[in-house]
Amino acid sequence: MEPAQVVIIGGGATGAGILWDLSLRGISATLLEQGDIANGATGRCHGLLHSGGRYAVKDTDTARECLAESRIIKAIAPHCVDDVGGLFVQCAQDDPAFFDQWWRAAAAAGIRSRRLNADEARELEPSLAASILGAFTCPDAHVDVFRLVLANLEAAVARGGRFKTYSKVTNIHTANGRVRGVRYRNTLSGEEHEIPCEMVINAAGGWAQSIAALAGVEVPIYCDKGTLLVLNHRLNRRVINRCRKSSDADILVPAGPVCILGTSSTRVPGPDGLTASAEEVDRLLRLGEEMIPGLVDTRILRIFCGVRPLYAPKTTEAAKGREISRGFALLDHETRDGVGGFVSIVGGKLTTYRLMAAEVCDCVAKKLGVDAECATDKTPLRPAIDRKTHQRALHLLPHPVADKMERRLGPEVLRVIQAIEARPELAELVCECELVTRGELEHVLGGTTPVPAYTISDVSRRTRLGFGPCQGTFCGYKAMLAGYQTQCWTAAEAANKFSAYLHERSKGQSFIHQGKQLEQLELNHDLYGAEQAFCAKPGVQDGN
Amino acid sequence: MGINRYDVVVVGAGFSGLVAAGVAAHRKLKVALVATGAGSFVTGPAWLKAQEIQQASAAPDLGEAIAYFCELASLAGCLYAGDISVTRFLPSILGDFHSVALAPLTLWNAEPRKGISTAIVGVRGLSSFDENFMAERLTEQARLITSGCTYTARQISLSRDMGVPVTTLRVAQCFDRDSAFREELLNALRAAASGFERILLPGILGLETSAEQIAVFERELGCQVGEIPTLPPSIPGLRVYHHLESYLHRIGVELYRGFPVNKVEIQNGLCTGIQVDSTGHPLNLHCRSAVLATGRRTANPLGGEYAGCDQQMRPLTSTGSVMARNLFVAGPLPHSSAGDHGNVMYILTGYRAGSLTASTRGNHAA
Amino acid sequence: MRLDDLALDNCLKCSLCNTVCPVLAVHTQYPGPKRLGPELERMRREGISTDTEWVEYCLGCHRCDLACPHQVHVSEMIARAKAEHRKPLIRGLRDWWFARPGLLGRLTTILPALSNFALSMKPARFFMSKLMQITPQRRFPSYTWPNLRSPTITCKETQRVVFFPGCFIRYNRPALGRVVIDLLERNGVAVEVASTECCGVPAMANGAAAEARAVARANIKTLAKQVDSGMRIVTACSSCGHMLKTGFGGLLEDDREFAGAAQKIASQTFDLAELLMEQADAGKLNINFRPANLRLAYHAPCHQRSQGIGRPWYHLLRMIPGVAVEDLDAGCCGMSGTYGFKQEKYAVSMEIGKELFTSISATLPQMVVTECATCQLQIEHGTAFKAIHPAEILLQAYDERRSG
Repeated sequence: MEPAQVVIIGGGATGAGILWDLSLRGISATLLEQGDIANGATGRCHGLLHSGGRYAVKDTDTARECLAESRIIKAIAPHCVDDVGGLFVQCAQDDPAFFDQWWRAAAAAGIRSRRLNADEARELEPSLAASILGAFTCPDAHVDVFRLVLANLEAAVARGGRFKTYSKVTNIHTANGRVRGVRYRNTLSGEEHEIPCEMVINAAGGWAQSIAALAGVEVPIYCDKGTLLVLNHRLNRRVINRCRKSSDADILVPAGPVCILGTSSTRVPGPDGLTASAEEVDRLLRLGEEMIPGLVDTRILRIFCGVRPLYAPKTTEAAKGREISRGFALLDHETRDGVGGFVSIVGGKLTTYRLMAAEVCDCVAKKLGVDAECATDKTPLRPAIDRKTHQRALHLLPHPVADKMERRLGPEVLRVIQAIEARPELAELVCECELVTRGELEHVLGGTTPVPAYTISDVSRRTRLGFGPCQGTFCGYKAMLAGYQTQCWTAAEAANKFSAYLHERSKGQSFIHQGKQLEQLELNHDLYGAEQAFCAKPGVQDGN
Repeated sequence: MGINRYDVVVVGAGFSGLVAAGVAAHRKLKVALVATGAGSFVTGPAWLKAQEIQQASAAPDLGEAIAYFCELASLAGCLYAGDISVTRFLPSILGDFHSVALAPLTLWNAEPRKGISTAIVGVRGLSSFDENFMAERLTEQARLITSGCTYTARQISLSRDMGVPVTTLRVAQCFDRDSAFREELLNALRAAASGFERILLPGILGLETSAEQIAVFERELGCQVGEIPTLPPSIPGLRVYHHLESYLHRIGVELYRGFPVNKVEIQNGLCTGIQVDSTGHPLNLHCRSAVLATGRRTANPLGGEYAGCDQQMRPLTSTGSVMARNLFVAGPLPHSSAGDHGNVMYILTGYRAGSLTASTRGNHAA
Repeated sequence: MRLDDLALDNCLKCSLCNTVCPVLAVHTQYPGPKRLGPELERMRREGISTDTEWVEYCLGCHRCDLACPHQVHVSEMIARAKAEHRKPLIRGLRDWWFARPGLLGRLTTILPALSNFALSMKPARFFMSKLMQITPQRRFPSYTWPNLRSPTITCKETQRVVFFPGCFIRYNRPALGRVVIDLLERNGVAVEVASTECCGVPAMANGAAAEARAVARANIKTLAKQVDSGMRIVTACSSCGHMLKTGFGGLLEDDREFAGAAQKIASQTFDLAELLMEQADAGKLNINFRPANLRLAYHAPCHQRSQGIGRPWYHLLRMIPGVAVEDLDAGCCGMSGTYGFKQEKYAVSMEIGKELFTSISATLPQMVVTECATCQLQIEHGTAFKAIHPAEILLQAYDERRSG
């Protein structure tokens, strides 16, 4: 296998950000990710681009950091960010002293905020309870996590970066106290490969501990699980935070056509095998109901669990999940553990991924003797689409369809436009809920994109196909046929991939124990037969 | 007897409800059918699986119930083929074979038959069906279950603009409404099918076509025609539904379509009526007996009190007392056990419930 | 604000609504109710502008609602989309008038004869076609002197109702209004004629939600006293009936002042046939029919089916000895009020009605009966058969001498 100067382990936001940063500095790097993109914490969070409001009271520095970074990300990746703004809502049940604390802390952190009375707040967000006392505004936003990771990866590839999905690192070779290379296994084909390298960056998040162990190094990671609910339709325009000390079900984030309610906090032994219970789900809904009446009856599309991978050196292990610092730590294993060429980046949060990457890359560049400064704060991840292309798209497709496709594909959209102009049937909306055209679908499956899709779930992450109410029942089938047609999957492979896709989709729905989603599942079950059956029982494993 | 007064009110128009209404109507009872939706007819091909027959095999009236259903379907203008004691394999939407005992005739025609040259014909632009995928899958799957049957893929193009995308619904509706379209389809299929003894199509042969009309189509085409299930709305399934409902309407069953049931009126252990949630204010239907066949996906009108049925299919409270002597439950209700599912069980319970309503007539004052 | 007053979350994408949509069946580009209803609604909640000309092609027949297994308020979602839809100037102007048959009626009945003459003249129809995109293929129904007043209540009636006549009866056929009153009086029901406005269906259908709300509020005020006293409201036009029974299309659900009253009206509105049916069930219907020798074909209007009252006219007519009624059950007639008058929609309207026309021709009745005025227009336009309100047949069956 082709050697690289640096191998990055972990394809979440941090890893992708590191690949981009190194590529910009001219350092050759390869990223290895065991699943598809954003397999870990990145792909299982709210997608909240923090203004810092959630940290203002507890930790002004972190708040300032978030504020600065969120501004940068809005500038470098506007196509990934839905800059909707946010509210910190004062509920009648909560501590009024905290409201004042928050107001002062936000000011101290430089977060621009307006004070709203209850009527003003409810005019902005009519779904809020009549009993609320008021709200503070803040510049929160939603970031599409998959798009963000993709953006970093695609930008890196354009600058010579390399990466592989479905590549699980099985060994880190060391000799004479230095890293020499890594071995990984392609989880789709089973083949094993080696990459000789000078440095390894452990950006594996929840798996950082097990990766570090491959190099004989101990990195204690405290895994704190949070459960989130995806609700069928958008209940709010802006991000809604509950103005109180961080607790469960505090946040409702609008995410395209859905909204995401979360979250909770439970210690778990590791990042795999996460489950959610019916009680947990009920509790989240009841708490959310206090802010937004009617939430309890709304349709849950999907339940997923993610792990906050917190760095917990011995001294702070006694503290509970939320209280362990959400700041990050850069561990230079040369000085710490006598293993040269190996660093780990642990902890942190989505909003500060770029900053984390910058710190790691500063360290790595220095070690490699490369004199290049970080430029990721000033370099857009993607060039803008020119007006002519935009007009061509509008000519072919309804405005919302064109708009979403452009945001997803960027300048690549030209290829899809050309394809649709040549074959008008490609304008068909395969996923009617997320407005994914057949043209886009074939493009993503076509194998020419910088970040190839190997499974139908991969397609979903790149296009949001199947993220709507039917959860892939209808559009997933058509995507399978498209994969058969464009990817040269055999019919048997296609059917297997669809079966696997349904299984993946069902895992996120199997905890839903009542309501319309259960009926949607039953329709799916009736349609595809007992062979695709899944149990509608709470507590079933979620590996998604 | 007044207009809103019936011998039997059946709630639900899936397999259970339609069969129950048919049984009651054939016994000369005055029947009302209250329903929203079309049960499982919209999702699937309305076939009766071998597994379901197996699960119900202990029932002494299984043969009778299935025979009744087949007769009802035939009277309604859609033929079923098959036998409860014989298992055959039919293609599914995923290109594998399901073990089926009975199915509408057009679907039955798609079973693997060795030595019969078969073309799977898709329609250009019909994005929910891929003839190549189906042909490849079925050929390979057929090798596993029988001594093999080869399916060859073909495609036809339709000259008229059917919109983007072409859907099975659009094609089916054109098929129903436009004789020129049927003519064009025939010609295109003849060309595609030349050299083959049988052609299989995605389910597009109209929502309203009767068995007779399909037979005519086959004769004009010159070879056997079969259908393969596609994504909902299931055209073959809805075709059965449409015929059954129309037939029931023709033999005097009064249809109340599109409104759920508010309440089941029960007084002194007797169901006296069904309250329909009509627009503005409810509609009260009085009855001598009633069948609830509302299915898994609709709230049970009996509410939280309902805790299962007795041997006579009457609903019980949690203490085991019968809620009403003249009220019967057919088909699954929400959260019922897996054993209640499947079209065979729906037919069986619908048949029983329908028969029971006939025997309660005259047992009490109106 | 209720989170899901339209039952958006109930949609399982089964597409049953699409299978019954009369427009989708004839128009290959029409996206269908599943898309224009729940899918666009979901996008609207996302904040995406979803305006599309296609919403104009919705008939408002409510068949999608009736087909939905889970009571998604599909047509109401499409109506909301219509209200937000921005039209090109001419269509906008034309539809402004179409949304206000009450206003049109008041103007034309100042000098009805002149209006009728003018509307039927070729130059007028040419003008309307070229400048207003109103199809020249159709004739407008004629207007007459409005002279529908409440009768003086003379004999001892057991029940009092208030009659909501609607624009067609008030401005085009007050004689039909008198038939309704007569019919009710012969069945022991005293009738007050309300001086109400248009029910608001044409306004909703033409995307004029503000106008629909305005007439709704006016009507609520006019009917306030009677409604509060528990009096029932009777309609003879299916569309008026449906509108009242839905509390004016749900338009006032968020209106603190009028929401309660709208609900009351909804629960107290009865179709004429419904009321007569109630009498029949109680054994109180006047069945002094003289035998007739009539072969009729009954067409149930879409807005009658959407009320969920069964088919009372069908049963009532069959009570007349010698009358044979065929229930056509042949789909939507395609007229949908003002829809069929629109040039760009004329062809669709006639294509939709084809199945019904064929069915009528195959049945060969002496005449067709249907309680919707525009269904009558469409049937007479598309076939050689006459179409009248079933109330007229019933009343004729009572009379010794034949009345107009």
